Amino acid sequence: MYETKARHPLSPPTPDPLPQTVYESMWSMFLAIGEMWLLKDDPQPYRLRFRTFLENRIALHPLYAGYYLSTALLIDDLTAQADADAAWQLIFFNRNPLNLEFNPSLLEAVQTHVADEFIARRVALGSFADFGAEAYQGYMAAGANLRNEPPHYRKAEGLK
Amino acid sequence: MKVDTLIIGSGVVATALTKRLLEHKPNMTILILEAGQRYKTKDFGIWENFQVTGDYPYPQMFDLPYPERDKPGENRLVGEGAQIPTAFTLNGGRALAYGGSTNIWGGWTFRRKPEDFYLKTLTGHALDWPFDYDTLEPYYCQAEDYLAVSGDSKVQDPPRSKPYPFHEFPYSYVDQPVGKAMAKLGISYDHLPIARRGVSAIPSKHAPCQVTGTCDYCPFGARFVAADYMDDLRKWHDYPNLEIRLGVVVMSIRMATKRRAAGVVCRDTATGDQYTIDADRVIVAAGTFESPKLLLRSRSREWPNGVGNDSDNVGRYLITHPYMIYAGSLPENPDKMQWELNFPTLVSRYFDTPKEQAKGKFVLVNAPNIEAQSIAQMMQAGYSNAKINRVITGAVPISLHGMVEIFGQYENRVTNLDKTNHFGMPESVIHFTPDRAALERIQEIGKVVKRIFEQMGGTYADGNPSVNSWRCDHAASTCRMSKDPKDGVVDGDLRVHGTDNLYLCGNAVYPNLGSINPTDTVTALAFRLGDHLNAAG
Repeated sequence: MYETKARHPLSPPTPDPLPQTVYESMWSMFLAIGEMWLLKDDPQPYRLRFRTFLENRIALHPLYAGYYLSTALLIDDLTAQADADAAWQLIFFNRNPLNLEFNPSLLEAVQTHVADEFIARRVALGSFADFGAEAYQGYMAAGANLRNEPPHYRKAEGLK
Repeated sequence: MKVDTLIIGSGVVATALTKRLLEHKPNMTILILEAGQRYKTKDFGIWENFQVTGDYPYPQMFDLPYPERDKPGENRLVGEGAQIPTAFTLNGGRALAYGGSTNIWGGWTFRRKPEDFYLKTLTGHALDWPFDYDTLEPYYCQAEDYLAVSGDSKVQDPPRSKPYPFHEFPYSYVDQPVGKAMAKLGISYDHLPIARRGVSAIPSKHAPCQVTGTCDYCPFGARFVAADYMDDLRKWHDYPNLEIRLGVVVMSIRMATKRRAAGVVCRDTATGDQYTIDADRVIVAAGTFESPKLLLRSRSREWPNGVGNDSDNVGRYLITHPYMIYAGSLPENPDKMQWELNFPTLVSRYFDTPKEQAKGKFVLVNAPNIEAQSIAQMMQAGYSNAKINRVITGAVPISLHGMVEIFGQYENRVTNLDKTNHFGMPESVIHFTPDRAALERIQEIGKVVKRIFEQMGGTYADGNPSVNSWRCDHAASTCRMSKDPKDGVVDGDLRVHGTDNLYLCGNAVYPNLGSINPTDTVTALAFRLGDHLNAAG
């Protein structure tokens, strides 16, 4: 349910609304999922729904504004230290962040509340098709179960 | 305050019954009292949260788990069943909220079969129902229209006089090996009827299923939730005297005389205020646990053991389904078979027949097993594209889920605990000792599943089955119907024995459960009760 008052006392102050640069940074992370996993679907049609997703997350849990702001800062820092590819490798594939020189809880929060959720959203928006399926939990473009129309999932053949 | 009809509980029974009563008499004063609160349905932000986190959206509706060391918890489970971790887990097993447990149900909508109404005659177990399948059949049709069921109307076992309102979902790809194996073994199967609204020429305020596979929180309201349909009655109809109060716990039923209910004593959980409401008739529709507890609490000089409890049947004969998961695996998956649709489309009722009735009928369902192949979870774990493809095409887990009929025992019961839960309701004591024969039956069913898995070219896992839960949402029989008052709590019209204007409707009135989900039947009973009350005036 919606948390209308929640804001952690240790959260950094977050501008309302978030600057456009934060949304751009989140979009770059969303695009990077496709690059990191060699996904073949075109993400551009997802852009509007992705923006709405971010806004809905903040509306449901106000802490997400802080997560997104912190993530944008982390991406900037990591990119400045090495390059964007190294930043994505760290965020998406380093699941043992205790060996880092900086505060591991920040990376864990980014992975849990931002990266993992973006992955789940990206797969459900259509990337699942790269792995052989025609539908997936959360896929919205399927449509209704209409008689005389093929189903929007792979159908069994040869059953009565 | 005085009302014509007072209904305790706001689940599917209350909703269907209210609809039927108000269609007949739109100005009737109906007050519905619900102990829980309202939760938002059809909200896109909540749906997205569920989709990306997997967090179940309903924890606020649930009882706390049973007490453990250092955790006070709620309710008590006693008897040998207390040693079974999944026995009658109220936490997560029922929803205490506006709309009741339809907030969390899966929507499987099976009819009972004709022989299920004659269990006593045919097997010696439990009781016969006071009426037969043919009596309930027209109400099943109404229930399926109301619940918006998609099903295969060609299936005539049990017989049906009207088609389902929406056609069946085609079998999904994961049904292919199961269905073929069953066919080779001579085990019949059918499309699973499920409450997912489809498309028809009949106008509806409710959207059709878009097969998002996120049915635990449908973003469109295509899965029936009673709260949405109660909202319809409030918003879209001219029923000026319909009122619903949330956060109100009914403490007891007040009897004016031995036979006549005067109303209830209730408590507002927000203010703590206790007050009385008068009613011409009282309908208890509070579920299998709360309904008998309320009768037991309603003691008076005329009813010293609780209303309707002169024969000591209230709360007894508690039954449910153990929900079994039989697991196995196929050695490879070259076609990348996956759970693309997160609800089942294939059921076998081959063993739901008179021949199996004495030992316990059962059904087998090819039900979703999505986590094992979740692409998102593999990516989140850092698997590469190539590794994910190797996992998907490699050995694949398979499972069949089963439900078996359990026979009621006098000692298994629910009673009140002198303690209040976080909803402000009296807690429950559930006395449960499983029948040894039932536990043996669960193992015996495994032999059937093993044959199916082997016919599929797969293997049957050691340690099968896991009993996922002894389901609280299928719990039944605690106020069973009987012709003779000494055998049960309500008569065939669902009136509490020995009373004139006190009724009870819910799974609690089932003399037996059969092997299938109870909601289609309870909705049919609610419509039948509505007709009875309308005829009574």
